Amino acid sequence: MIKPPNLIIAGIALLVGVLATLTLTGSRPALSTLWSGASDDTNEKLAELGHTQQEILRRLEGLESSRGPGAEGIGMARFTPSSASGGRSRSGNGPGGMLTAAQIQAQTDEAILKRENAFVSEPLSSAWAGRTEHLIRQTMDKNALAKEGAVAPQALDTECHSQTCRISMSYADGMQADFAKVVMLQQITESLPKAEIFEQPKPDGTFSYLIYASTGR
Amino acid sequence: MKQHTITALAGALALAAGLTLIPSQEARAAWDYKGISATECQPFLPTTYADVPFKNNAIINTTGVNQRVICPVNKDAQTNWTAGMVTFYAYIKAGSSAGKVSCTLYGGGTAFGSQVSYGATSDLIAAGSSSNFAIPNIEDPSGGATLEGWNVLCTLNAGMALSGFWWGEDFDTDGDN
Repeated sequence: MIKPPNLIIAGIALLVGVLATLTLTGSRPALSTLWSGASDDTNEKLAELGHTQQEILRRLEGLESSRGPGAEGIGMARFTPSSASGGRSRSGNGPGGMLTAAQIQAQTDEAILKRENAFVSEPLSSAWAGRTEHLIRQTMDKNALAKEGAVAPQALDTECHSQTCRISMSYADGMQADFAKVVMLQQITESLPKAEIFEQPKPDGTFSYLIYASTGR
Repeated sequence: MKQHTITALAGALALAAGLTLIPSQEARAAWDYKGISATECQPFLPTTYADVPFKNNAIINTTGVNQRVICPVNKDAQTNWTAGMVTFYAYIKAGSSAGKVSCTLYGGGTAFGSQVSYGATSDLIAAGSSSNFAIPNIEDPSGGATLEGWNVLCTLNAGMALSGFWWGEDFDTDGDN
């Protein structure tokens, strides 16, 4: 007949084996695909499991030798699984960690500085720059915008280099600015498919966009 | 001796239990594909619902001028989109005359300061023909993952229909990267 203490040892061994496996894999368990052929990754994990099993047996032997005949109870082996990495790592802030307005402004200012430095350093291609600046001014022409239901800006400044154009435009109304931005970006998308857009509300109530539009190369 | 036998049996049981718990290889898919029906799109002012009625499988510009619609993009919030990881496709059909569709993806810009956009325009699609076009190499705004939604805004030439979008993320979906 199997003695209760030995059943307890068997149960502990099973539990420790499961916990060890969870720790090694760091993920929720799923059914094995051993039948479909083991990959190097699976073989590695099997080897790790084998080492863990030997460690479990060693600990069990240690438990048994520390017990005298008739001793009551078995202490659980102390087991501290390493923290699982959980989901994918990410930068930025998640729920509960939103940036303050000051932090967002600081991040925006840094991003603008980085974009501007890259733009200034970009070599100039007079032919490409001239052609692309003309395209943007045509798109933002009062009559062309009116055909799309948009309004011309109060101020527009465009400068292109060889892959990137810096466009700044100002409006009295934020919604008008947003719609004109949408129209412009779609009209120039074949030449400048990628853009980084910075909103710049002004103290006098006007609304500006600073846009770095590029070929994406 | 009996105790050692039972101990060995317990160890073997533990090993057997562990072997059945090795994660499946199938969980480690490299691509995650998603689709959006164009019936999730809404008119973008000044376009109205009357300008772009829904068919059972598409949204269609029934007017004689360009109309715009804006549609949601259900991106995994914990995935950083980096260069080369995502390509976006729009599916379109021309009506009784040839036409084009332009689409621009927008990400970020309200809570995180900067907005990015990636756009593309289809070829001129012959009357009655279907096609699709790609917007490649989409990336999150600088500063890492955006928890704001991404949207796609499309301009449909007269008569053009938009049936939906499809994109792939070249990123594991099992969350242990």
